Amino acid sequence: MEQIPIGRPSHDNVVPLRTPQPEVVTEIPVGAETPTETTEAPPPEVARPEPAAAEPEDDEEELSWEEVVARDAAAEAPGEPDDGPAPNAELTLMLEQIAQVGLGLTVGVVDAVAGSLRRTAGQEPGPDDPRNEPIEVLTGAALGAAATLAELMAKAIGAATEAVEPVASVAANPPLLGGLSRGAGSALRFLDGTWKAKEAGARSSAESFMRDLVPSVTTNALDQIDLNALIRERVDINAIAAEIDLDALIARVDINAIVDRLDMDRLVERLPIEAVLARVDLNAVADQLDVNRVAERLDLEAVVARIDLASLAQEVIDEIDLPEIIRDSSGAMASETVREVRILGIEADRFVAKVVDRILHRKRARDTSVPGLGEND
Amino acid sequence: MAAQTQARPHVRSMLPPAADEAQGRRAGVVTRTVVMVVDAAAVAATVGILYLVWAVVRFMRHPVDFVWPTVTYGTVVVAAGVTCVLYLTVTWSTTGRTVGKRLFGLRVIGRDGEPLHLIRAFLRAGACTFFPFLLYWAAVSSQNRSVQDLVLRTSVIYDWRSGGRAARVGAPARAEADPSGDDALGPGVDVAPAVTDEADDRHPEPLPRLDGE
Repeated sequence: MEQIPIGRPSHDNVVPLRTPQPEVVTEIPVGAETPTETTEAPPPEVARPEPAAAEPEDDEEELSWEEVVARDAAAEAPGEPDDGPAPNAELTLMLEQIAQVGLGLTVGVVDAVAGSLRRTAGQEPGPDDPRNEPIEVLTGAALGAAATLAELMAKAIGAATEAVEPVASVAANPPLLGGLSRGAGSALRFLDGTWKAKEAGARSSAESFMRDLVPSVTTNALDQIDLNALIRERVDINAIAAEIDLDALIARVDINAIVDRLDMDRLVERLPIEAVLARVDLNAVADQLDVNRVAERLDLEAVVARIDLASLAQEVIDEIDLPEIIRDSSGAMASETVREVRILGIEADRFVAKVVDRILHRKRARDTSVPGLGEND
Repeated sequence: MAAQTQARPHVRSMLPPAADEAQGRRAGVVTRTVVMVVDAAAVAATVGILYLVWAVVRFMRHPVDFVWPTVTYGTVVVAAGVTCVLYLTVTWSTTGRTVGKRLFGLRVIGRDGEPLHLIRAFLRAGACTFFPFLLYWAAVSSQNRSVQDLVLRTSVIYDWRSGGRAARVGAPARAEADPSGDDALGPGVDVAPAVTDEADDRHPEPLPRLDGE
């Protein structure tokens, strides 16, 4: 966002604030306050001359207002030794400060207002736009005049206060004040009535003005601030995140809508299916399979119906050499007969050998093995 | 029978136990007698065929005045003896199996288990032809050996497998029928692995076995 140069023509007049003279500061009887603290809104008590710190408060309570005025007049009589500055000089200093602070604020507001007005007028002048120069010069001159006038007024008020104070103290007695107050009361009621008549319009104007002014001021202020750095420095994001109810947040998310927007084909293409399958223990999966249930669900009839059994049978018959099988069958029958005859021969051999051995009273069994054909040969 | 049991190899066999145990062992006198009779019949048939051939030749040479050739008893005996010796010599020195032995699953082997040498086969053939009764010493012998076997150091063993080499003791028979098909067993012989050092190159095209291999 474009940064608007706030108060650029009059910076020298407003910021920095004019610091009070060192000798004047040392003469301020409010010992705890520093000169820089005077830039803040001064309390009304600062402008009044303080009573002597050495006097006990109970003595002051016993005095009448006439005695206080007389005492003040005696205390400020010329020719008396006085270590601090005159109360009027202090008042002048305060007024000057107030004027300067007000002036600075006014300059800032005026600058923001000017920028806002320019934008509303459709003009976005650059920082070096020559069209601004007369305006800026005039603005600077007006502000300089205002500052000078404020100083002069402050001094004049101080001098006037000094001159009027004895008269005012005399005129402040109750009988005189009673008449004045009655007159002033009627005047105030008149002015109040006038204000109430104009209040709605004034408020409306002020609100519409503020509606434009506040965003502009806020924007300009935010332009000057690095919010990221500020948040990092000042905000405990972890604490905030810890308090976030992620479940509630997720409950508000329409997962289905997200899934609908997913390109599943691309997702599947990026999946390492081979690697996933390599990690799957298919044997364990197969162990968990109930093959009987799977078989029950199989529509075997439909499977069989899809098989061309006739052509399949023809292929099988073509592959099989039936005559050879028949020949083998007959040969098997013949060989079975031969085997039986052979076994009969072997048993007959054994029987004869056993009979002969018994006749010969031979107790040892015959050794019919051939040495050259031993199994370990 | 303890020796036989001890010699039993742990080899898969589809033969009946009685036949399985007998493989590679010397055959008894009954089987050998039957084999001798079969071989004698084969020799007689051969002699008869030779007589027919002779007659045919005579007829072709003198068809007009053809008469059946007359043979004397002596001539027949000599012809049969010669035929038998030649027949046995050739068969024993080649496969060790005559027709009768092939039919009943016997084989003649030498000391090394191989078929007999030609001279040994000839000598044994002569002895068996002219002194056949010496066979029956096998009934008495504690080793089932005839006199010819003892003299010539030969053996006649049960060997149901085909081929030219004797089965080991207790080795199961193997269906290795000759491609020529002259094995009386044919493809129906029980199937079992033979000895591991059996030379299969003797039968480059063995008939299919019953187990589908």
